[in-house]
Amino acid sequence: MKETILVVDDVDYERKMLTAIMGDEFVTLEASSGEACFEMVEKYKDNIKVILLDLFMPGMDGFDVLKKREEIPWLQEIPVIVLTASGAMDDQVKAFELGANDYITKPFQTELVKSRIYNVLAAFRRMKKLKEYAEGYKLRSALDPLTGLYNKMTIEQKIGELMRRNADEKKGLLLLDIDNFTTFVAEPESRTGQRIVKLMADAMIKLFEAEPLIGRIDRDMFVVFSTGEEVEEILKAQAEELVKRLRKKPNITQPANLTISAGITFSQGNELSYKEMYEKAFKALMASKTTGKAKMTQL
Amino acid sequence: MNRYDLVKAGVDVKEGIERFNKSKELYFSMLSEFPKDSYFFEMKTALEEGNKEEAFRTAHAFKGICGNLSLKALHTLLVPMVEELRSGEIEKAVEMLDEVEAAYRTVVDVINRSNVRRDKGGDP
Repeated sequence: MKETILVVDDVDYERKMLTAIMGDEFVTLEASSGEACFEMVEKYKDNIKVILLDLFMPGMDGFDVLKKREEIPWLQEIPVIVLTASGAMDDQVKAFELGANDYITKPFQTELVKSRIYNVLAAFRRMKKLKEYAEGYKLRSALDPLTGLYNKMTIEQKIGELMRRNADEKKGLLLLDIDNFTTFVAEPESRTGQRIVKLMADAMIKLFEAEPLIGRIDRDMFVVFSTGEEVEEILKAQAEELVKRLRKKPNITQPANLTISAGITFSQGNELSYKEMYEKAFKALMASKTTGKAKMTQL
Repeated sequence: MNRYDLVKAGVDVKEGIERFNKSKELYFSMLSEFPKDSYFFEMKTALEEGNKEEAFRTAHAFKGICGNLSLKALHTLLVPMVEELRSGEIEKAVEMLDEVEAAYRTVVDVINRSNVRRDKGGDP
């Protein structure tokens, strides 16, 4: 498939020549001014893969086009090759400083122009791929791969942001830990271990839905954080429901003694820091663990 | 088009054909439109009127056209002229105009003669 290029030049004869020369390998669109260049890219931004830009044009010239492009992030995804009769060093340096991706002087050698267009195209394709990969990686590295919940680093960062944003609101922090986890599985990363953790995470996601922040902070420990006027009533009721559900085992595929213990604590405004809330909830969780498990303690 | 006459008028026919994807037809058809282009006269007017900015822009554009059409003799004269205009030396550029015009007329005459022959159905 032929790629589409936009030829920007105020001289009709030049555009005609370029279209004739490039036409065998590219689909060419034309713009007769800097202003028209922006109209064309706006209209055909999904099609235009390279812009061939003349420098000296009345009105908005090639430098102005490059300058404006610097302010439009999506436009920087379309490479610009300056094509001009000016071989002056000043013009070349200025064009490159303004973000031109290549610079070709007229009279040009056709083979070379085409090679350079393909080169710039390939470089931009590679860059796009890398960018997509980096974005995907950022998302993947923020989540716990097994459960899809936030990982320890992300949840702590998210809680920090929420605490700053809702400084005056009441806050609740709930810690949940799977009871007797190591007695089910010799290896926490074994298939059974992973299945149990996933089961827990799914039960939590179902119960809490998307509202509070949920993260897996250790192999069998989870943190739930929420803010608001009624956070105490809501979070406590939800935690108790979860503890109860697992005790009752409506789902027969769960091992008989798979239960969870919970520790919960609240803070008025930002009276307590995240660390202080965490430590209090952890103490409460330990209290649940040492007094029979499968229950919730508030501190 | 008569290759010999073109070369004599300072046209690098070989390079021109090369530039237009090695197509003689494409190159000659573009060349045949050169006399219709108005940039030489726009440049001449701007120079005679002493309009520096317009003279630079039009001379620069005209140089680009001549370069890509491989009008070597004309292009060679235009390069120093554009440089004078770039540094604002319009008087020096005006002094060069006659020579540029002579070279322009020579090329246009050759192309026009070919065009007339072709229009009459003769062998180009």
